[in-house]
Amino acid sequence: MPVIRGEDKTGLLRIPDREWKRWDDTQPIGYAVALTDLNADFDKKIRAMIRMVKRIRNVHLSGQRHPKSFWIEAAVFNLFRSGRLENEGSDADRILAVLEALRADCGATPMRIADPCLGRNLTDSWAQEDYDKFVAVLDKVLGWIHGIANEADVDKAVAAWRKVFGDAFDMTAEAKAEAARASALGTAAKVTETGLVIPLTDPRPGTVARPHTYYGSNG
Amino acid sequence: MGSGKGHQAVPPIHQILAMTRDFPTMQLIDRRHLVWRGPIEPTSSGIVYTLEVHARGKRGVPKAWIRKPALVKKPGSRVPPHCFVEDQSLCLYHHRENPWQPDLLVAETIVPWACGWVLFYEQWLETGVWLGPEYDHAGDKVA
Repeated sequence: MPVIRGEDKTGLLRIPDREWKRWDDTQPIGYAVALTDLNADFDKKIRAMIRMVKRIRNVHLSGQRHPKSFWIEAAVFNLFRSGRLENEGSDADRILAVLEALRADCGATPMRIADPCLGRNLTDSWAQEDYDKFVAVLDKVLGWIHGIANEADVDKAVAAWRKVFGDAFDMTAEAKAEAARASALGTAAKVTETGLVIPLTDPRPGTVARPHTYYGSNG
Repeated sequence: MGSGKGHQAVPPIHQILAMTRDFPTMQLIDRRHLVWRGPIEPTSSGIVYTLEVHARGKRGVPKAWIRKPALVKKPGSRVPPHCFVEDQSLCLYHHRENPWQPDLLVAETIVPWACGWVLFYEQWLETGVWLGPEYDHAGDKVA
């Protein structure tokens, strides 16, 4: 791809946009630096969130050219930089927050995604039909994820995540354990007469554990 | 720890009735000292543990043990995670928090807490990490 270096020293480049046959400004080095810095501020989760959203796009919008990968990068980056997303929660909490924020930004016409460095709108070429499909995917995925939040069975939760991210998704042993802990205990749980620990929302009868927050250190 | 000052102890018969109601498979093996033993299966792993509970342990504080199967010890330690070295009983709470009082039912405290301990123990076996809330060795609350 032909590239024209900008006359200043900011790292600005000009690359051709094949669809419109025009030259677009881009600042890849500046963006890379900004992303690295911001990623560090968010426990290195931003790149992970970007990959997840791209994965969702690849699984559910395969064969479709838009949204472009850099549009997704820019959209997620902008969300974090704007301060709309907190630096807290599990990866599941974070991806839910990212997707909900993206969906909140979706209007009737293709959403505007600003170049993180140059500010220009990246999505001029986003066709309405493709955009509508993207919004529909967001709605579908959000529905699945909201359902996972209420799922106490880890295996069923994994199956639901596979719908979101495709069959290649699997949880590490530690992630499964954490999901089990979160789903079973959270801040309260009950225990059946056989000793099975279940969430309070489970319909089976059980003894509610009295408020109990700490397991003491050894001796 | 658990001195119970100002807390009137639950009558033994109430402790027995509550245990029979909530955990009928826990057998009262010593009525005088309120000792129960029975199977618990806290997770879907299929492993059945034998839990033993002493309502009147050392200094009047309840104690719990997992008698079967043999528990895996922490690397470099003589005990599994969150067990007392002196008697290998389960360490179910930190003395600073002191959630146990004599006016509480063992069936609503020690037994459910022990079941939760097993859940975290199994997760520790799988991941090497204790995912339950705990105090670290410096005595600071971790989570």
